[in-house]
Amino acid sequence: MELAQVGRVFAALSDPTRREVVRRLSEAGSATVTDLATDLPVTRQAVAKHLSVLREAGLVSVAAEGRSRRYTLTAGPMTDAVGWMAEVGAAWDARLAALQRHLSRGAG
Amino acid sequence: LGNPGVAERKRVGEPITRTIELAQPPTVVWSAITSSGELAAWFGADAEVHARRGGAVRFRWSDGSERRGIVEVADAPRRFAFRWREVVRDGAGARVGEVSHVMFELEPSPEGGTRLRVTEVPGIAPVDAIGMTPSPLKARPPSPPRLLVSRG
Repeated sequence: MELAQVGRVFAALSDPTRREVVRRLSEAGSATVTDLATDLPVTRQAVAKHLSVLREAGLVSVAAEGRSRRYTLTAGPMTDAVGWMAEVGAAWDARLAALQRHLSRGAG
Repeated sequence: LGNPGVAERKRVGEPITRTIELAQPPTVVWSAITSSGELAAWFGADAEVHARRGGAVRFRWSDGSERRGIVEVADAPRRFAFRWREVVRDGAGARVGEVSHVMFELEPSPEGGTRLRVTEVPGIAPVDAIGMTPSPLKARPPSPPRLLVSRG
């Protein structure tokens, strides 16, 4: 993988919503914009835009399915790393939010 | 070390870094991240942490999963780091997952609080080589492997 590509990958994954999209694709195997917009607190347009960034980074591929398009995480060596990043990042987001709540309870 | 495929794949793994601003001073935050009792209240797992270099860490989640590791840095109230790996128990016994390193860095903020940075990085180097010198903080895109040349 070339450095420019790696940069695009990590830029794509710097956004929490896109990490969540990656995580859900990794769990579900594949999904349409409608599937993702149903699960996530963002609009279809926002989901489509995030998918487009992920696609430019080479992280997802798209296939036409009837009148909609189905998105899949790209197979390959990046998939594990990306899955790891999405999973570990989401875990720390949740833990640090819980730490903040824990500390403010103690102080109150 | 005998598995170049795994090493190659892990090379791609970048450090995960999160930073949070906390209202409490570093000593209070230090206690929250290093005391077993306090960890249990927020980490999402039962924790058993011996916060000294070489001390054991163990986290057990309610779904039965478990991570074990060892403390690499305990520099109160500034840096706390450990490496850990998942321990999977099945009918055949226990297997371990891939190691990663976790580092907490606490920095006093001007308002009397703490800026807490957490970094988790997959085990890039062999555990024994990286164990005592974790340096996961220079997050940047992977560069091509460099040859180490000693001049002398």
